Amino acid sequence: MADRSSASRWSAAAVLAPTAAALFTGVTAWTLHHSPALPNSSSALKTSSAPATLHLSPPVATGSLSALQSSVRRDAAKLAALRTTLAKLHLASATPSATSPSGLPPARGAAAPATTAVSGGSTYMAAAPAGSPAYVAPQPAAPAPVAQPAPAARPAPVVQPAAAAPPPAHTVTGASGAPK
Amino acid sequence: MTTTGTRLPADVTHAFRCMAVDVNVRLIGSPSAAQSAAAAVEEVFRRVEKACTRFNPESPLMLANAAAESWHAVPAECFVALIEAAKAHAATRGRFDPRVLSELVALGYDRSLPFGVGPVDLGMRLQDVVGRILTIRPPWHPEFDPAASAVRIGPVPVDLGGIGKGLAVRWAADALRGRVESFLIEAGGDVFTVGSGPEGEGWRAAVEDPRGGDQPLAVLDVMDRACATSSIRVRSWRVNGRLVHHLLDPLTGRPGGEGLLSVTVLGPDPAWAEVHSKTLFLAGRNGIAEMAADEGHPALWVDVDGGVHTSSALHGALLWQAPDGC
Repeated sequence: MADRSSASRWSAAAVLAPTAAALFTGVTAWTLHHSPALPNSSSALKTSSAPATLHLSPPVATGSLSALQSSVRRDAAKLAALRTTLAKLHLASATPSATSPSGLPPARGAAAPATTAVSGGSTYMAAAPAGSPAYVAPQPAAPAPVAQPAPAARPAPVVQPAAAAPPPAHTVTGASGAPK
Repeated sequence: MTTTGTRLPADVTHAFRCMAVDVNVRLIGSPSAAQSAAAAVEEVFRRVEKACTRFNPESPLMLANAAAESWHAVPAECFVALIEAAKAHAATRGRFDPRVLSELVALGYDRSLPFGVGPVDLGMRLQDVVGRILTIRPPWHPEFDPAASAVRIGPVPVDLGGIGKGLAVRWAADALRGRVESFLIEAGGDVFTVGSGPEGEGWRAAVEDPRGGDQPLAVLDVMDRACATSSIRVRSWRVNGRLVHHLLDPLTGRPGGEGLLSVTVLGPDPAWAEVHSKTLFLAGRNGIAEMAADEGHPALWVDVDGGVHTSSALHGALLWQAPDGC
């Protein structure tokens, strides 16, 4: 019984093996001639098959490096000059240093001279006439100052309904300025 | 000077008249500090008035005006006020111009007029006034010598009335900082406050109705802010029957702000709030909304028909507004 079973299993294998091989060959051949449809198969294939490339700059020659360094130095000098110009503009638009942050000299009378003659000190001028020291005030072409916003920490006030009585005020702003 | 309250901090009020306006001060702090601080505020105003008044021909400002093209030493208050005026003139592209003294004088405002006690009619002939108005003025190029505190104003005399008042408020506030916990200074409609006020809830300012009456048009939150109003309610008078006022347009030399009665502006500094309230007023009814929006000013204005308008930047400070038609 055991021999008969073994013989029949080998017979089945002898039949199935060539069949499976033939089937595999056929399917493979069919697949090679029937690629799946892609919207842009060429670009997709190109993307998937192309190796990752790192574009490196060509080596910098010694001469080019020194030229670049020179360029950087020139630009740094230009930047320094622009910063100086900007500082001068800030200085010109600010109150002269003789005054406090509020614009008022700290000591009354300290700067007042006994003479009305032109001194040799720095001169704050809206427009410098010929021969005068250049300390230029902002000109009419300067941009209008932007009103500063309210402090961020201030809570938003609640506007009362129009029909309600006005909340009590501490003062009045107007021509008469009558206190409340 | 009035002191109320039996425990610290004290609530001290002080009122006096200076620079042709009523000045009101309210101070919250220790009684001794608050009372000495009130005296300091008045001292600041007196110094500014003495240096910058145009109603005294011997004042430093008027002497510098008379000197015109020559250098003239002036006190610190006048020196810095002229610098601030020049900065405002430049920053507003000439819309703020203190060189309207000649026109004010030509219109009869050559002395402190009795405003507020009845109609003021100078009985002048309008054509005579117009003939004296300087319609073409040269660019303003004042010169300053900080070392000598000397100025050379130029050929056209200047008036520091409005900006001088705002600067007096600024400098008075500087004198108060650190001396009291909280304070309010008001001078002819120019307001500046610091701190949380007597109730600890900040400071509120009512906007006066320029048409008259006791009811305010709005109430504004002015805590840690300046507030200024340019209005023709009080400083208006008649020249041969025609109503004129003190807010002169530097482009024409004549009363400006057509269609407007008043403009109120909030800002961080009282002198600049004063400048902006004036320049916005001079924009007139047709131009004020655009200018306020473009420059971001928190502003409220009243037109001749009684319309009350606000810029979007004001809304955060608008606590209450009267119903339409009030």
